[in-house]
Amino acid sequence: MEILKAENIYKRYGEVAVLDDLSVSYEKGQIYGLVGENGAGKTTLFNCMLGQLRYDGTVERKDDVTIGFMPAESFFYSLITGREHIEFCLKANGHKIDNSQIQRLNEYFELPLNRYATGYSTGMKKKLDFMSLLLQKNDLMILDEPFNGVDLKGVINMRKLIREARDEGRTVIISSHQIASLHEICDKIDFLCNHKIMKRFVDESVEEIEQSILNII
Amino acid sequence: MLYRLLRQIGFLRSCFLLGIAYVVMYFLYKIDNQYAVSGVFLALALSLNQYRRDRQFLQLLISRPSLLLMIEYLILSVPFVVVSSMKEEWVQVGVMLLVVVLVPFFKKIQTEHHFTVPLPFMYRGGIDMLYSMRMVGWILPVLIAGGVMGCCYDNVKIVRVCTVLYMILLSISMCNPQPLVRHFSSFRQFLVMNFKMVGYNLPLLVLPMVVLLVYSENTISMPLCLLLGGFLFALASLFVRYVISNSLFMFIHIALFVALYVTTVMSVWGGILFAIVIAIYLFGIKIKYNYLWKY
Repeated sequence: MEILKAENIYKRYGEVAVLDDLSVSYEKGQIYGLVGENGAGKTTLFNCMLGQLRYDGTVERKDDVTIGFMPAESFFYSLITGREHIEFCLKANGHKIDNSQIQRLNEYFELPLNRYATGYSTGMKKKLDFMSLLLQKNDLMILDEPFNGVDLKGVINMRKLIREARDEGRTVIISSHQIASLHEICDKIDFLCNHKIMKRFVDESVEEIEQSILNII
Repeated sequence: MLYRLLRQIGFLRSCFLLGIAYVVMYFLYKIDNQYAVSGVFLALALSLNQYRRDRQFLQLLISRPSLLLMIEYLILSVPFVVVSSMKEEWVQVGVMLLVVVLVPFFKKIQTEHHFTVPLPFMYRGGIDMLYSMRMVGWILPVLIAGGVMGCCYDNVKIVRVCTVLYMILLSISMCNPQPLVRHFSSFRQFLVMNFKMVGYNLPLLVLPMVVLLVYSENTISMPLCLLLGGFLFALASLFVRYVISNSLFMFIHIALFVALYVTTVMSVWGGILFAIVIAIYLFGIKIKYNYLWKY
């Protein structure tokens, strides 16, 4: 079942075309990867799907489908603890605060939730952002470079939790530059190049994907 | 270099800034106090030295960044030195040159602390007011103490002034952080959460001042007006950040809130006007973030 469908998306910044007649669709209960060169338009595509940017074309999704977004750069208020940030994210999304759930999830990441979030390291900030997003239980989760700066154990746990989310019927889209990492976790990988999705890889090996990308570029 | 600087700042802004600088220098020239000019320059140099972020970067590029900072502060001191020279305050000129030489060697004072101030009594999830309390919470007991003094000496005016300052401080401190709008699932959720947060936290935080006011005024109407005005002030401060991002406009709006708050305390029309301003902000937020909440 299709959860989100973007058709003929055009997005320009002045004279520069970022997305040009891009079409892509995502199905329920799948993990999608998105790869592309720097400046290819991955974040722009996410912003269009979230409705945060004006664009030409159509993005179709059902009214009851909720989307959560984890940006590449985390932002936290100063003087606010990790726990308070999570509580804010939950309440802003209309959820009740469940301490046991927060505690259970934090067993994976071991974050000092009672410390100010701005004092966290880059990886810890990523983990906190990921935790708040996961607790919101959105139907579609968009993760922009989620593994950057995260330690090995953190990455392994993130992957485990992403798979769990998929098994619960949620859809996840992950953008990353690490094809091997995406290949391990994703059901399908899209390659964004020349302003559109050039190819969707489903069963190819990492080597085949890399060769194919090199051929296209 | 001057041309590049002016071009970067812009002609209008340059004129505006030069105008302000001229007015400040004129007042400093007219002030009789001999320590005024050097005092202002000392405060300026110290704050610039404290908040500058290029120190580490400069250390990577040059071996002695203090020398560069010295030259920078020397250029900054020129108008102040000229004013002091015109007033023939040669000792102050010497003091300012000493400041220029010494301040670059001052280390940055660590103002950020890592211990967490627990606030378990406040509304969970309302990070704007948690931030606000941690920012200015340490001043509030001072104002409460001022109010208690006013009560002890039967001076209602002191209690009123302390209460007004208390409200203003509490509300204005919420204006700073960049609002996290994308986390709200809908406009309705945005409204519910913000109203709940202010509705729960504010009466709790202003309770000591209300008690002092009731005790000193022997009436309930004035404390109620102050509380209602404070409620509107806090809401306006919360919402304005979502529609205005320019710091100058923000400053103008905050000045308007202070005026509206004082008017609300004095007249019911002030409260109505304040409510209209908040309604306009909410309409602006609804329009501005429609793309986020259209589903």
